[in-house]
Amino acid sequence: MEENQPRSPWRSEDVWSIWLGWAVLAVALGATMVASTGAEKAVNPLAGMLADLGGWVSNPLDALRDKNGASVLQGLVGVFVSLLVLFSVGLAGMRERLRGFPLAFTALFGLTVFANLLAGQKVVKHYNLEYALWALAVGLLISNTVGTPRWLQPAVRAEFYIKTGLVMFGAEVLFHQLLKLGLPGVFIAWVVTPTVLILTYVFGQRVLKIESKSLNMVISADMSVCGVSAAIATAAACRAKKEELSLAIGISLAFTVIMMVVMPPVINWLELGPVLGGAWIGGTIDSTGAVAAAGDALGETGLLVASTVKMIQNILIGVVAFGVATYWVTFVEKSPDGARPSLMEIWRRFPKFVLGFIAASILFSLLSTSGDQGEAIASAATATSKTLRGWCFCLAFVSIGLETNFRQLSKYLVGGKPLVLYVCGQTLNLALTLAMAWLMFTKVFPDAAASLNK
Amino acid sequence: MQQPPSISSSLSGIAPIREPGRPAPGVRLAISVALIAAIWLVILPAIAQMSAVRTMIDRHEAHGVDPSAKFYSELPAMPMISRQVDEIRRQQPEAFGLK
Repeated sequence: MEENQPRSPWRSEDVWSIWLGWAVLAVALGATMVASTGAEKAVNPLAGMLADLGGWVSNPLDALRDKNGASVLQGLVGVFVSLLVLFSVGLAGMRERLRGFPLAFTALFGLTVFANLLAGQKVVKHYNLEYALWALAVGLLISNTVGTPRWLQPAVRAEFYIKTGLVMFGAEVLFHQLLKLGLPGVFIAWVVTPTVLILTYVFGQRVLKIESKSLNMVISADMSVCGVSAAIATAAACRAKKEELSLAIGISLAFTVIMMVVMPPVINWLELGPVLGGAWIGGTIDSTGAVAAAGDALGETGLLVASTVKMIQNILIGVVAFGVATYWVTFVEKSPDGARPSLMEIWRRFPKFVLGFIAASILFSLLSTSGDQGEAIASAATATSKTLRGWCFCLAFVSIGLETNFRQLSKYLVGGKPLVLYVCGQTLNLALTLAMAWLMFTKVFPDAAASLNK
Repeated sequence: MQQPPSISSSLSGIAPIREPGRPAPGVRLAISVALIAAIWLVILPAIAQMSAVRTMIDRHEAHGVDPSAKFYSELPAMPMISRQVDEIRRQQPEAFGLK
């Protein structure tokens, strides 16, 4: 996703997304540290000021209360004001026009609340039909019927919301979780996953000859790593087009629902058991929530193993974003003469927000490993950034929908290549993950499986 | 340098899409909104009352499973799972290839 033409690197969207993301993390961390001094446990005084919508079954107004019955209205106002101030500061910093932004942002936020309301219906939620899908649908509905009004345009800033959300997201990517399941977890999640990603990308380029390398990469990453969140990070790292991100997410969500329902009975039929079956689910189903749901269908051990393997795989998102960004600026975006770019040129082209994302990840990983108190503070502080980055991503998907025409999406489906890529990649993923999980838990580390089964 | 078309520069879909033989844009939007209302206010609540679906939702909520989670940090059960796995691994680190 290409950034706007900046007058100075310091006024670019990449740099301002870092400042804004880091500002949120610094304020949340500072407030948590101050409030936790002398307290028995870590307290984030800002956490209560922000909220997500609750779930509902038949009355949408139930979404205005959280699971404990408390109103979320004040928290929603907090999210709206925080993001309005944050992005207004960002636009001012980039020397862009602020006129019209508050009104446009208010309307966009309203659409985002509506998308979250659709996603919060419990049947929708428990079948893993995530907000990304409904946010896109709400935007598409408007842009493909009455059209996106011109006064809404100042707030339609998909890239800015995604990059800022990703920098905040870095605080949740904690590298020390890598050894959570010891070596079996590393081999299943960190050896198979990159192998599948690379082979799927190469298959798309060499065999299917997919024209758009960025579409090829986004589908390969969301299928092999962790669905929507990996698609967002990779699309931003390789400057994918908005339709490509929408398409990759649509395919991923459709297959996630199918795999979430089909895999548990298949595992029971094959009598793989909860450890091997859980590892298979954790390594293959795209979405983290769907992994937990499918693992839960295998029982407590299945939930434990599936969720842990997925968590280890989740952390890979930082490495993938950095690796894809580096590969893209070095090998894909060649100079007009075809020459390999110099180091300075690579640095100039590199999407800088990825560095903000990685820095946040390293800082919070170090804090989390500094002791129990550090871990508690990091966990409490990310409550703020987690809520805000979720809203940032939802704002981004509504924005993408508002800028997309159905015809732009349909041209990518001609010949069905993206679908074939996903199916072939996922088949390879299923085969390699099962083989590796079997090797790890029955041949190399059978005692690990026995411990987990207890 | 080869660069893909920018998201920001692509402003399609701004103007209302009028097509001969199809309802006016405002009518199409109204029909879509009515369809959404019917699905979310009538059909989905009815599905939620089905025994199998209700059991699944109750089980997920009781076990701290949020199927719409996009990252492990969004999963309510994750802190508990993480503590359990730590405990299992600490009891027998060599079983997991760790010293």
